[in-house]
Amino acid sequence: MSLLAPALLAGLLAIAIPVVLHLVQRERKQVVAFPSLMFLRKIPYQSVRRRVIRHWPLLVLRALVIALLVLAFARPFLPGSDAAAGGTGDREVAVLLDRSASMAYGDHFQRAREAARRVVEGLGPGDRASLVLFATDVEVAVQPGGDRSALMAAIEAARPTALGTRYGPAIQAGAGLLESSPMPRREVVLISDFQGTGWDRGQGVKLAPGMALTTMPVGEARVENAAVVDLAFAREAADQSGSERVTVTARVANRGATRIENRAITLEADGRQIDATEVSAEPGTTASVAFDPLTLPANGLVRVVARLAPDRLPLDDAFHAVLASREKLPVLVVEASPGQTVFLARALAVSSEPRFEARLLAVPQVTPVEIERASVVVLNDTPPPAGAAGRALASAVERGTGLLLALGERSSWSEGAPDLLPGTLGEIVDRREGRGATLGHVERSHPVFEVFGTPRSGDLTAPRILRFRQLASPTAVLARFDAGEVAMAERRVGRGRVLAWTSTLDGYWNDLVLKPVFVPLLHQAIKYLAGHVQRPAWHVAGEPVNPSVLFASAGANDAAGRTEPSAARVALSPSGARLPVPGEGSRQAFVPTEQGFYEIRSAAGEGAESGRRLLAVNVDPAESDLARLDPAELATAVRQGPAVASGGEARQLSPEDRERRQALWWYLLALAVLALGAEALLAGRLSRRRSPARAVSEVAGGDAAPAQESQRLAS
Amino acid sequence: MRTGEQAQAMTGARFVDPKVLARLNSLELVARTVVDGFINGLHRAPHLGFSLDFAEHRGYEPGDDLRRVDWRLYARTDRFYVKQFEADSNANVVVVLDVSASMRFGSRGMPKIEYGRYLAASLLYFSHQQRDRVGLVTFDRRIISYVPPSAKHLDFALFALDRAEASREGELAAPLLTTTERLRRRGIVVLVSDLYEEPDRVAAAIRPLRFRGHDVIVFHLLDPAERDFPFDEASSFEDLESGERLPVVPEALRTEYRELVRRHIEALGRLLADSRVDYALFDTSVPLDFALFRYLAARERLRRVR
Repeated sequence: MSLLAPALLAGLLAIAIPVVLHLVQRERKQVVAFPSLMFLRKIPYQSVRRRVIRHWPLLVLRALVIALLVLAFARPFLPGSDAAAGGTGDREVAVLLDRSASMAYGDHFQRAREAARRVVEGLGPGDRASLVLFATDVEVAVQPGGDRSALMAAIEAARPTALGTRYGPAIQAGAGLLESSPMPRREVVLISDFQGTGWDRGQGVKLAPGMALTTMPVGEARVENAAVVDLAFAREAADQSGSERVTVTARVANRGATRIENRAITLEADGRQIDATEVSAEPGTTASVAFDPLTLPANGLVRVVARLAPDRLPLDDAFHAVLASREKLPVLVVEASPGQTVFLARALAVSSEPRFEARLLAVPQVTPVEIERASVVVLNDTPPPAGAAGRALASAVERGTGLLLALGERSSWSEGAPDLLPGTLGEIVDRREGRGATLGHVERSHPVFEVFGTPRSGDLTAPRILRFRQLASPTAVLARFDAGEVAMAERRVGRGRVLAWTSTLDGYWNDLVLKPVFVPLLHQAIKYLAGHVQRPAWHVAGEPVNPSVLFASAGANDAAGRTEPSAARVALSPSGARLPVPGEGSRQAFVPTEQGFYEIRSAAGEGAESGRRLLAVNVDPAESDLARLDPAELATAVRQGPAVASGGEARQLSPEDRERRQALWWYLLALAVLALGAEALLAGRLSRRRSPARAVSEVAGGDAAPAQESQRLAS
Repeated sequence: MRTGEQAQAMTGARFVDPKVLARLNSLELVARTVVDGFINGLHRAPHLGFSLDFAEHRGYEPGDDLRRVDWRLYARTDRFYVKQFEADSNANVVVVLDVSASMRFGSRGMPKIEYGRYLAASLLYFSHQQRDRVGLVTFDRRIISYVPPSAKHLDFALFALDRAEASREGELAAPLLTTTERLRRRGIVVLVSDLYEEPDRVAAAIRPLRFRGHDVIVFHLLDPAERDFPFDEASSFEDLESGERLPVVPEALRTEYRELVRRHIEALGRLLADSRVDYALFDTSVPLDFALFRYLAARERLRRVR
């Protein structure tokens, strides 16, 4: 027998009330005031001892009444056997099998498969079942049906993945499979280690009324796990050969309850062990391990793996990353006279990621070859090159080269010049009177200015602009001066971008180059114009990869320039599978699911180094945290309607069955009423028997009438 | 002891139920009610009481007052004889009332303190009617109020009686000794108490009064429940004076208790008689005038015998 409201059993403590009342009340009523105990004291004590409770039947009856009432309110019900449960008819079962990375812990996945097999074996002849494998993704492995062998085969073929855990979509998928089922009993069976990080309480996933959720936890209560959760790279200056030295630091997290002591950890680069050391960490803490520096080849990629000695969850003991030498971004700065671009050259020289390789040339020195080599061309207060160089510039911009124009006194845009200016160049505006012009409006959502979007990230109003060129009919304005004139404008030409700054970058017309915002602003502008995208050293399994990472200029491994967008590509997974990579314009994202290194290469020129990419993919760090979720909490959260059970056999009951099983409280209540009646009879009888004898009372006052009244009341 | 029905049957003795008396507020009215009925009932006993009645002659001794010489007898016998009388015509009558907390007890409507108060008032009123000087002492462990004997002090005495409250522990020896010291002139001292002390200590406490020549009468007040112990329920018995509690199963010790009380009364009567002290037991359920009549009649008989 179980109780619907077991907390109410605390009311049984109320049984103490009649006991206390029996004692206390007797004590109170039975005190007889007597003139003197002189004679009573002379009688031996044995004959004057007091009996504590005289009316045991009365006490027992009163306690019984309370106990029955408490039990009735606790709403007992009979769980009963299957036959008595009233759940009749065939079942539709959706088996949800967790295949997230954490299931690779110990024999968890083996136990999960056995649990799934038991569910399949327990199906009746008319029952139907489906199998859903889930991690962060959901895969319906076997559609609803009665084919036991297909189910068994799918269970046997299931393997844990490197993906994280998300229960919400899996339960929704299971409920979706049951939704259209005509079967009278529908049940979702969730087999998992119930990892706490997989359940989002705010997700609001609900089962349809009438569906039951059975949870089958396979996890262990006490788990030990350590994992490599991060790698950090400290680069040293490149030597003369162009190669860099990088110190790799691994962060190891101990997610178990016991200290890890001198656990071996190694660093591998392209399959070769670079360093081996040991790490110790207290429970619930992380420790950092720095390895010996490794040398990156110029323009090369290195596959780096930090590998911790395997524990019961080996998946998260290895951490993969792709280490590339710093990207170089060739910038061609065209100046009117030598020394004019000293501020600009210094600002470009302090770059780190990517590294700008500035080349300063006077206008006559600019050749088409120089233009072709550059990712970004800066025309610093000069007119555009004429002739072949001018045409080469227009062509390069059309194909994606960026162009930055600093418009000054010497800037001019003749009729024959390439059409690259984002507007019409006007007169010089002199604002030397007063305090000069300041930037009044800036498009902070634009990539060039977005680094200044947060508070205290740079004061763009600090520079004083004393002179600038008017720019009429601008295509797109990114910044304006305080009087509304154009300060920066943008124009897209083909795949290329053109930015025009309407003042100079030399310190004569303004003091922008002396302000702290100058360097970041210039770097942002160059990177934006070059279409540079920072490529992460690793990705997390199950998370979509930004297509720009796959297709953008890759510097080191694609120094020759930009690939054709239409080129078809394939990804070679760590397990050797060939996967199609969606095109750049495609809405479909590429989602790596395996742990290790993905190699993305052109489908046409397979084997060629051109267009080759490497992606390092790691297990979701959240999977290392094996803290368990209470299955009952999850079952309660998805509950909708009464027919939800957890932790074992769950059967859907009809309302009549439920009512019948819970009807015990009526009988208990009736018994309590009967006991109450008996108690009243007994108490009345005892009271009548006692009252004639109690003819003694104390009178304190002078008036006899109240004394008589009190005597009557007392009796 | 006679019952109320027997008292009612007595000629002229009007039955005055203590419960009825309890409803009368004025003590003087109560006393008058009791004593008037009592006097009406005593018309065949005219010599009862303290009077100027001649008692005997004795031989003259030097120093006797010559006014007391019976000259007629001298004429007949040629010898000097002096006349002696029964009592002084204006004797001091002092009622000493115990107002200790134990006197608060009462099982049948009237507590002992009430009964004692009416008894004292009746005696005082009765004595006042006989031109006696009346006084009052109330005490528990010390003297609470003291009204010196005087022919004009009846009202004061009744007022003090009316104010008397039984609330504290009591003791006999010390207050009675103090009373003895204060009453310089011999007289009649009536002690009204429940005498919850050992009999020899009671006798010892009263003895100084006797030594000073007082005529001492002890009225021992007891509630019927104190004698019969009719309790039924197992209870905690609380001492009215000390507050001490004792768990008691009454049916188990009723016989022993009654025996102890009987012996106590018996010992009191014996010891007090030895000290030439009149002792009378008053049951508070018995009508007051009947109790008075019975006692005074007995006293008269004793006096005549004497």
